[in-house]
Amino acid sequence: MSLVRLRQVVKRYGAKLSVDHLSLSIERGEIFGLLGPNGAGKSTTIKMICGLLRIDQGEIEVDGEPVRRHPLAVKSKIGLVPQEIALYDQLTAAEHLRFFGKLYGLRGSRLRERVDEALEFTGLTEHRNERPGSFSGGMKRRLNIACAIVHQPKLVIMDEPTVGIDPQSRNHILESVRELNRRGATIIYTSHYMEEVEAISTRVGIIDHGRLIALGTIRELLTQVEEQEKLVIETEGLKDAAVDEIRRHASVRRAERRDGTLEVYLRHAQSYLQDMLYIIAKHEARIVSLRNETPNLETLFLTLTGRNLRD
Amino acid sequence: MRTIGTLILHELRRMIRAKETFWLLLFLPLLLIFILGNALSGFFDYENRRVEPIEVGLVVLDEASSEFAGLLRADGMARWLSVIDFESKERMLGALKDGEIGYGVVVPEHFAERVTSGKEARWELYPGQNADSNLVAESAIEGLLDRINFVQSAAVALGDPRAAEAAVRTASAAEGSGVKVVPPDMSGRDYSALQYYAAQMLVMFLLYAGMAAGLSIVEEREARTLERIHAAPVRPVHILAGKFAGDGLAAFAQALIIIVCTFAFYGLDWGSRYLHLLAACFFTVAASVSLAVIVAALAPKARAFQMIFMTLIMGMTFVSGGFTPELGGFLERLGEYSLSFWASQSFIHLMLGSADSVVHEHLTVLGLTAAGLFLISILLGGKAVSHE
Repeated sequence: MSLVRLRQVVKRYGAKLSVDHLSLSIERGEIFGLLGPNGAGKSTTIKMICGLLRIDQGEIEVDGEPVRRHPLAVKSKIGLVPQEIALYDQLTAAEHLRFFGKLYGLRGSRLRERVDEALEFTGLTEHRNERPGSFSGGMKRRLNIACAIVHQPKLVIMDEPTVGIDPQSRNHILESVRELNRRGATIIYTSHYMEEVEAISTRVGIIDHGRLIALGTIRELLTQVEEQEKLVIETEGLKDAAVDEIRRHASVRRAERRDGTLEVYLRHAQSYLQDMLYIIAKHEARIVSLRNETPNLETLFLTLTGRNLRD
Repeated sequence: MRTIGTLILHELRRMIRAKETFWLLLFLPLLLIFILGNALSGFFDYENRRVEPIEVGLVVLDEASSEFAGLLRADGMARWLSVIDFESKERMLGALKDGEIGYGVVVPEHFAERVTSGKEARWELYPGQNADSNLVAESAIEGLLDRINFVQSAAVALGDPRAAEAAVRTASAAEGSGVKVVPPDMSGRDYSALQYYAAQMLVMFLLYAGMAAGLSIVEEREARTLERIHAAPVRPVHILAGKFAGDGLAAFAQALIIIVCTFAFYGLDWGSRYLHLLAACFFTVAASVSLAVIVAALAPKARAFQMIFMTLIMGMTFVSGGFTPELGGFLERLGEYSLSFWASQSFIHLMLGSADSVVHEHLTVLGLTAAGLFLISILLGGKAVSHE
């Protein structure tokens, strides 16, 4: 059964259609990556799921509860990690968690336990009595996450949680997402960094101009662009005969020559790399450089929209 | 209610932790009250500035005017003027030059006749060497001349010089002490500078304390923590109530601390009507917090909010006489439409022990102003705490 279900959801800002009849189901226990360029409608979609933005048209349900009719019940099941670091300069890490825990109805020993767990989970136990002013960017990001998970929500929504942090903190956060998922939380993870989404998501939705343009597992999505896998070989003294022989190879879809550079489109390029190199060497050409271009979600987005994800 | 309680405590904790809180809300008002109250005490210290009666040399050259001239000796004038008769104008001017008398008056010939016939009539006034004495004497004599002008008007209206003359006699006999002399800088103010500025500063800093509620909303909006609170199962009205009650409580506590400290350290008497005093504090705080929420709904950024609200505070404090009590004219009338005026006047009348009716009138206007602002703030409150 789906944990989150969107049906023909529409959100307008004046004349601009920010979310355009979006329908989507997110299953329990999955890490769902929502990918799209800036301004694609990811944050707007998330805010509507969290009950932070009015839904102009359509319906959103979380755990069977319609957001429009029971916003408070829905909110209590969600932990939102906002894109911006939303913390108070005057409160310590533990006070942040106590405050947000109380807003979610936690009290007494249960609140204390959850605060300790959230601090431990994000590696901030030793800094529990320190204020964010003394934290690094990565620690602030982790506290930002801790505030959202203190009440152990069924659904954790992370809106670009790794913006502006160092690689080490990014890895820590990505590992935290996997661990949260292992502990039973369903995750919606938005980003315009496709590497992150590819690394952690079990399923991905690609959104552009408020519309869902692709949906599926990473493997399913990449199937759509697998023919774009290619070897780019820079050579000296490449002869036409060599190019012809490569074109005749069973695995090759097509081969294009631009001066000394040969682009060979083929499936499972690494498996046939030896064959390609052998043919070139046989025709007495010298290989200057070689690279394997494997299609990814960026390639898919480019194929679907004609634009790059980071445009 | 638990959620509101959490939000109230959260608001109070943030305020207590802020570095500027103690300085801005407690220390600064007490310091300003002390400095202004003492530095400007000479302006208000009428007991020490009690003016001795001015010796006025009087020369009456018109026998028929002796009744008019006699008004200078009326009981009410004795506080200001001590009249010494001179036989001639020359001797009086000589005494004035030598400093034997402080002021000189000559009632010219045919003065009474001119008055009763409705013609222009003047006394000759000779100022002395002391400007303060001249001011007091002129004020007193102007009051008397107003009286005489009345007789002149009566003469014109009645058309009969004898009837007018009778009116003068009646008026003189019945109201010998009726000449009202009010020196311009002493009207209606018999409180000390410390009291005056304590009331003004209390109101000004309560407005600042109310500003904290609006600023807290706008800053949370900017820092996105407001959105984070909205993401929790919290209604917008809870957030608004938390801001209102949290910052309102802090402002109310500030008022009580200032009142107790000025009483304990400076011996300031805030009057004995404590419930009225609490009501004045409550209304001022409610109005101030409401105003802050209204401005927060209209100002998109913290800087704009601060600029608008501080301009409002300074403007209202100025026109209500918070920086200088002598504004006069248009500004003084404008001040009567400000929140600061009704709040500070409520405190001042409580200090002075004014009649209940006067205190109630001021508290009623202040309370109605607070209620009006509160209603508007409720209407705009949703927009103020909106995160969109």
